[in-house]
Amino acid sequence: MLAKIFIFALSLFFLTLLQSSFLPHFVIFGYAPNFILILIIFIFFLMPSLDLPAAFFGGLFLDIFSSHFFGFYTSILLGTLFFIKLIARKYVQFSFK
Amino acid sequence: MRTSFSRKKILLVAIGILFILSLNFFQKEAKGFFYSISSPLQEKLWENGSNTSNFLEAIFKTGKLLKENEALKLRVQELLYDHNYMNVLEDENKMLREALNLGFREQIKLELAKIIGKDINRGGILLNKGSENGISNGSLVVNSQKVLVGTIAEVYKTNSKVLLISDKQSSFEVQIPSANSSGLAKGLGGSGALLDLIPKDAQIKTGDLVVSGDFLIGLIGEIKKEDASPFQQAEISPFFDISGLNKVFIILDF
Repeated sequence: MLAKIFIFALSLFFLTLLQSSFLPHFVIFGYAPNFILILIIFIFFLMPSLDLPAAFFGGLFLDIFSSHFFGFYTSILLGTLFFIKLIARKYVQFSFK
Repeated sequence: MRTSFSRKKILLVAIGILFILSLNFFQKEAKGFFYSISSPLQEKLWENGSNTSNFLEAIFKTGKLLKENEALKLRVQELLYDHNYMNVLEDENKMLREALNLGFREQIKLELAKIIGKDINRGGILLNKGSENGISNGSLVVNSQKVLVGTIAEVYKTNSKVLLISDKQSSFEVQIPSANSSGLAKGLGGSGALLDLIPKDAQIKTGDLVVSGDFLIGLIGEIKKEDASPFQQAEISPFFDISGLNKVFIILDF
């Protein structure tokens, strides 16, 4: 599990570099979508066991490459994740047949 | 699907948040460390992004480029005429300086830096030069055409961050030479800027050049006049375009 998290964190770091250095050339109306946030939402549905480490590391790397204080994006991503979990637990029912 | 939060998970999250918040006590060192290790890869990504974007733009905007090319040809002709006139003035100026025994301004000390990334949330850029190259806070950043890009806002050991003139936190005095007037330029976020506090009687018009000292800023766009206000405002279309920029100059010393 730890090796999985490490590889995942490394991939998120690379994605943050792409977000910071490659994607600014492809902005739409001056804005580029936040792919880390989109990825975390996907991870919640596809790999729920990795959602917390993903939000944690994704937030940490976004904090590093932004001008905000450490904890800004981490709180946003963890908050978003808990909110999605809460909504999913209360109002969404998954059925696998 | 299991969605409940166990106590262990909540404890882990709390420890994680505390760890991240504690990084704020040595933010400069922590960010500087990550910037220095990712710098070479970011440099490549920025270059590749710029090349890919230029390639795609060339494909999708061929028609627009042709029109732009025609307009630029006309502009070049106008500028050549102006340049010729400036040469005459320069010779005259040189003779007057010699006659008055005045020295020319000393050369500006510059440091060439590569852009390696853009701030995730703000209109700032990350450069591959830092305090070990003599960069300090507040230094001006220009491109090779003497267009002002911004000022250095954060300095790390091997990298530095630039506050772009289009950033919302950016404001500085500018001049409009054709109207012999001045105003205050404020960043609007994105890629635009607003020219404020221009005296109402100043005869400015769309397309007028905006400068700040010796450096070019952009052209005046739409002008806004209100009867109740003693000042007029105008949009500025900055000359610099971050997506097409790879290298900049940091002015170390005037």
